[in-house]
Amino acid sequence: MKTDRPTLESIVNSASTVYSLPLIHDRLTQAINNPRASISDITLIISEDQGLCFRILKLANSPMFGYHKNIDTITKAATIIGTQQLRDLSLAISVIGIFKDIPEDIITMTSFWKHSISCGIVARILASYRREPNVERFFVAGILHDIGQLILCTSIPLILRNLLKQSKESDRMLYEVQSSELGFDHAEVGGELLKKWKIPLLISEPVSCHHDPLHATIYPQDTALLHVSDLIAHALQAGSSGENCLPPLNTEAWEILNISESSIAGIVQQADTQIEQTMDSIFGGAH
Amino acid sequence: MKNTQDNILSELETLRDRNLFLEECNQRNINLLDVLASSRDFQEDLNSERDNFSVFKATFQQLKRLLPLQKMAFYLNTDDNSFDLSECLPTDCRDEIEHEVDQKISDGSFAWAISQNHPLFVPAIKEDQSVVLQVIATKSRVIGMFIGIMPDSNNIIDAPSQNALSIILLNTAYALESNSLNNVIRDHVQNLEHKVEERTKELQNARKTAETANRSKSVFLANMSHELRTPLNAVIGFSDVLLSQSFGPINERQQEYLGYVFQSSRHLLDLINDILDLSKIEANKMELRLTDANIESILKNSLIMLKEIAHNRKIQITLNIVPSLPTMIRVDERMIKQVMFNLLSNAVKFSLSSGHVSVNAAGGINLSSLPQNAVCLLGETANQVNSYVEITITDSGIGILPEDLERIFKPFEQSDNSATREFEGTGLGLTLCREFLALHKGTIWAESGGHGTGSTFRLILPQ
Repeated sequence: MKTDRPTLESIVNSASTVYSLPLIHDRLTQAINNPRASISDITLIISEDQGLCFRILKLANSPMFGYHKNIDTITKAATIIGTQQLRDLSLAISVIGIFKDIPEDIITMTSFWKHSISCGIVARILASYRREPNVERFFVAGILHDIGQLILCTSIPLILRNLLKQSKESDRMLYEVQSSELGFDHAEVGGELLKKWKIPLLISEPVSCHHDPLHATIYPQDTALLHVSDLIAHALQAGSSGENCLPPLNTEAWEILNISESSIAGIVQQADTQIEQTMDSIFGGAH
Repeated sequence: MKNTQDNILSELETLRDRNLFLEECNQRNINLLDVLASSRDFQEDLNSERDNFSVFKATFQQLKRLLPLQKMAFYLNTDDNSFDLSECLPTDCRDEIEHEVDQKISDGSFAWAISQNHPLFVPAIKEDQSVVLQVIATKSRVIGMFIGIMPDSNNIIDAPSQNALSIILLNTAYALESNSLNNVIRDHVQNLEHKVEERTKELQNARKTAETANRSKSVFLANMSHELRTPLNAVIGFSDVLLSQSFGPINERQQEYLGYVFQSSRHLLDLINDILDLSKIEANKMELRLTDANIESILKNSLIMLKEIAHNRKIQITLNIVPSLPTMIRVDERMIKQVMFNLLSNAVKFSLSSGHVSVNAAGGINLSSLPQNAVCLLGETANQVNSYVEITITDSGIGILPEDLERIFKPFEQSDNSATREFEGTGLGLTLCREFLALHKGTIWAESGGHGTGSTFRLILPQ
């Protein structure tokens, strides 16, 4: 007898009714695209959420940015970091806020976000190595890359627990077990949710395809970059999103990036120094 | 009632405002699309221009359509990693821009802008102005910095315009990069051209020196040969007279030795004559004395002279005149006689005893029926002649190795160049033959299957 197998669609549909993107994201997007808007409009929108405001400033002053002077107002942050970048940072912070209260019986939240933030930091550094415009979108993509796992945690906890056990016993990657048992993996769940939230494809496609980067048709380079970042974040062993071993590297994706192997050590070292303080900026309390 | 009316009015106001806003957005987007669409022309501009100044000008023009820029400037990253102002618009704002940049460098925003790949908007020194900084960089290196000054309107520059600015300046970066690469290539090419020119001049000089030296040698030889011939004639004449015993009998040993003197001096005279001819040709002093000559009788006369030797060595000679051979052709008879005599005496000399020599003469030969190497030897003159007379001399002698077929026409070369060579000769005969024929716009070449198969000499002369 077949039990009701959950489908990708049903899971994402129910998740999108429970978790919705804060209005602030839409408003910020509108403001930065609006030729009439002023910096003070943007400042006002962010200042409505004191927590967000505080975290953005803390992040702006963290080693991740390494600006030599104190950035003490959102107005300064907007000019120095850039408005689009500010919008992307606020997206990253608010998504973390949305999934704050997930039961921790399957995955520890701190550990999960540590892995996600590590991935975001590595992606951001790789992107600056490649002189990509707006590196913050890679930071966001890194932070969001595994949110599908959180959705599965809440929508099908029993099945997920079972799949985790299977993956440990058979020594297979969790996303492979998910794919073969469910017909989809957590990356696809995350990507679909982002699409539902109307997050641009520039972020949702890399999230969707980060295990299978050659599958990306529209943003193959961004996807390849996220794939490599995920792997480096796993190797850093900072936190975990449920996988218990290192995912395999897709060498073609690595070649797309055209980054010399010798620069990896520097990138890893740079990332390592930023993780703790970025965690503190996002999760630390207001003192 | 009043309340609802107020509500409707206020809603109407909101809608009107919203409408205005959307129209504005629409206008902005159309403008942006225009700028980006004209980026195609801009890129072509960038590609066709060679110097940085035109790239800057094209970029200034494009950016003015995008942002309300009052003053703009490009700083270029120099070799020692400092930034120098390269170009500004308007040109008299140099001091103001430099002042502004100095301030941005000291407050750190200039350095920050280098590390960011998007435009940075910061307040200007003057209160009513703001500054935009954007690095000009390719994926691999920082080329420079763009700085623009615009009125401070309190409005932010919307994201699409910022991105368009980045796109345009990325194009600029690649145009500047290709300029500098082009310059490197041009330098290399110029350097190379210079070197080639120098080398060519050296070679020309060397050739001129060599030619002059060669000509002096030929003139010297021509003179010397003449000086040598006079005493030699005395040696030949007097030894001949002594041998004829007109002045009394001589004993056997005296006769033998006098015979050596006579033969050796004859040989020396031949040698000197050949050298004289060759040096005349090399000194460009050989002139053709063209007359109408009968080829058949030239051949027959040459054969008569060789009759005795051929008879002694039991060599059979056949002469075949093909009817196509014209009776008369215009040649320098002395030269052609010498050529025929040389070739025929060679054929007899190199044929083994009881062998045979056959001579064939025909006319009406076309260029197309000649082998490739003969056409090469004719060179430019091939085009000046319609049809040739061909004379073929085949012997049953020792033959010639393939690698020697050309070498034997060089001065002082024989097929067998060893010290103990069996066949005597001046070593200049074939060289002279070829030179004489070349003066006639004809040529000569040899064919042979190798040792023991005999050889064939073929010569052609314009008909």
